[in-house]
Amino acid sequence: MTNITPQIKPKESRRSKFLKNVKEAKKKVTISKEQKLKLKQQKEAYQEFKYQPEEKTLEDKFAQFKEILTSQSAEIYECYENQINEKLEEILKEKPYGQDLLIGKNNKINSPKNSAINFIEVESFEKNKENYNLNCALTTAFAAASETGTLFLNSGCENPTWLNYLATCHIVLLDKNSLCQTYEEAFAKGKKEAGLSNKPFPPRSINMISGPSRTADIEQTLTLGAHGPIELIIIVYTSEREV
Amino acid sequence: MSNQTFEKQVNQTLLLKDASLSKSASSFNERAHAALLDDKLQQALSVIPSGFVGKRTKAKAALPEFSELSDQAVRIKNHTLANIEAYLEQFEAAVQRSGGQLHFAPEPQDALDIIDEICTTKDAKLIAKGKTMVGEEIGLTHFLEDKGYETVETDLGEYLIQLRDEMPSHIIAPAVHLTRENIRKDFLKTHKNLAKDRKLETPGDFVQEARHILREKFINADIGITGANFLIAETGTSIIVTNEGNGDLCQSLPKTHIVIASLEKLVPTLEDTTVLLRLLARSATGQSISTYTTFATGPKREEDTSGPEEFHIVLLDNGRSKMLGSEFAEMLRCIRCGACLNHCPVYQNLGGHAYGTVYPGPMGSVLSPHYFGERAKDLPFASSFCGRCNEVCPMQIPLTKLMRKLREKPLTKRTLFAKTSMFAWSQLAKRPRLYNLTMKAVLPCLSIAAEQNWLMNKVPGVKAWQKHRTLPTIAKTSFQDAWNLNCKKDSSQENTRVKKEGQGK
Repeated sequence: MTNITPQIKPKESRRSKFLKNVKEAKKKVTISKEQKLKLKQQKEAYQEFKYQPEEKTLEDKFAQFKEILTSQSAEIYECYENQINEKLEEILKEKPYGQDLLIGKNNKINSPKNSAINFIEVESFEKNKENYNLNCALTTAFAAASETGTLFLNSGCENPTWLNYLATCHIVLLDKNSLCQTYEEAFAKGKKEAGLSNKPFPPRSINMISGPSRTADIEQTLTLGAHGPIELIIIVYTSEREV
Repeated sequence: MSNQTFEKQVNQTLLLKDASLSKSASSFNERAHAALLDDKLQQALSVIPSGFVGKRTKAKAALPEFSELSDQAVRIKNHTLANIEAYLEQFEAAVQRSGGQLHFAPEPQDALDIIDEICTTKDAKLIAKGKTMVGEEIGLTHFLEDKGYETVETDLGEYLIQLRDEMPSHIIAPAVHLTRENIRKDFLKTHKNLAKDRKLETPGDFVQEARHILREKFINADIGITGANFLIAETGTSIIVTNEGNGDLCQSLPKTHIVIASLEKLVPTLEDTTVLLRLLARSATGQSISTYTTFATGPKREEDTSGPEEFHIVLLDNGRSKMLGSEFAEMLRCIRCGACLNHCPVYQNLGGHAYGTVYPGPMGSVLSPHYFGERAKDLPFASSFCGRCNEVCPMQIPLTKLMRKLREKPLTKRTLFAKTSMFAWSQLAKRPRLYNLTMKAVLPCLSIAAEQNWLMNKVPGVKAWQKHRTLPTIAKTSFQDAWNLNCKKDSSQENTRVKKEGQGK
């Protein structure tokens, strides 16, 4: 899968000792017949429970998604697919971060040239190491789950993971139609899309993001912008004529 | 041999830490005593009940399926542990398939050696570390520092205690015992290049300063080390859950990513982790989900422009396989949410350092004797057995039952005094008549003694008990006697009532 061969090989002696310990411990487990039967049933049917909350319409899902994320101090905007650029210009005008916007290669909006925004397509982190205090970065979510207001982002050259964490202001694009209700649906969507484009699943990273970075380590007081973004902005776009 | 070296090393670092925090107290009782007299600590701890406890109650109530999810989570972990050999092999194959390396570490020293070997091979100078309790368990940061690597804790709480060379006092909020006053002093002392008269008042001031200092470390780190909340056998994935995003920077910027985790973190599939994730944050901080949950599988892919080039998982045993084959196997279901700590009256009053190991509270009282042996032997006694920990545990671990079992173990044997008095008590309790007779004789004496405090303090065991509490006044008659007397009164009243009614007719 990768052409870099790690130089450090795991030691076989440690492996066999580890597995032997586990094996011996398993032998020691003495359980009654009843427990054995129960375990066998669990083995066969441990996955029988599925988390299935009452199904929601897309609008209800969106309302829930928006409510939760807003309560987590994220900002949510809606627009048509062909208006994303205008929306971005509008948002950045309001913010104190200037007009530079870092973005992955082959990105969704093709970095329009005639924009007021200065789109900077990044490659490796190494090449951007010098100015690591980025102001704004844009990445794309492949899905979202309304149950807890969570965005799902894949790693890849069009979506470098470090942009999600180093920018002061992180902007995420989300297709309204990829808004799911549960985590399971979101993962199923990711798996299906990876299958369609012949990519391995899971990729190096899947990031579930549910708000701007925060900490409560100082006297249990919630404070935003711990190490990651201080602001999370989500642009939800629709291709249909009606929003 | 390697194990002995490890124990020596851990004992050394812990002695050092103990000295700084509770005046080199060696037993739980002594440390507990020191903690209760520490006003600053008491002030810091006072936020726990209103914070964690209240938020968890709300979060749980907002998810109607919570108990069903908890049942399912128990099934998942029981199933995985019952088939752990198969899942270990599946996991190993999956990690290799995605281009990573899985290193088995039977003992802590093995884990340390493996990580040292990787760091040496990579010629590492700066290591950025995310929060990992398994790392704390094996003294990883101290080990790496001693080896000459600059090792920086990047979780804000862990960073704060690294500056003070202390142990975490909580498994999810390591610096919960610190006040802003403590932190201000440490920051002024450590961050010398910053202006001396800078403003350090609001929590935001501290967070901004730490962000500024630590960002430079992330950028220049050669190696990133993280823990794992879960490991997925099917895909070879490690999962971390954070609110700060520090773990993500540790695992996306440096060229080498090392995961240190223990064998019980395994779950079979991606779908299984969703069940556990729904319970974790709600039980831990009362959030519906933590801000960042990240699934890392293998190193960066060929077409990726960024990400680590190497991905190593170090899987630690350290006594866990022994637990697997024992009556303590249920403890391996623990997902380290910390709910039992937050709800424990002993923890709420003492904080984590009194426990003397990195795993405090009820879960620590069961785990620590298994991982650290001798030096944690009195922890199973650090409980009043009120049972709140059992109630709030999302993995339904019978913590008090396990602590009770541990109290019977040779390692955690009681003192002779405790043994004889428990024996005498059990003999008495088994014989109701003898018990009643004794009580009739003893109670009035105790009741008189209770009025004279100096006299009460002469009763064996009472003086120590009274140090931080007052013994309630003891009634002259036992409950049973009072009950019997009342019943007699009642029945005689009843009789008179019946008589009167009869006359009325």
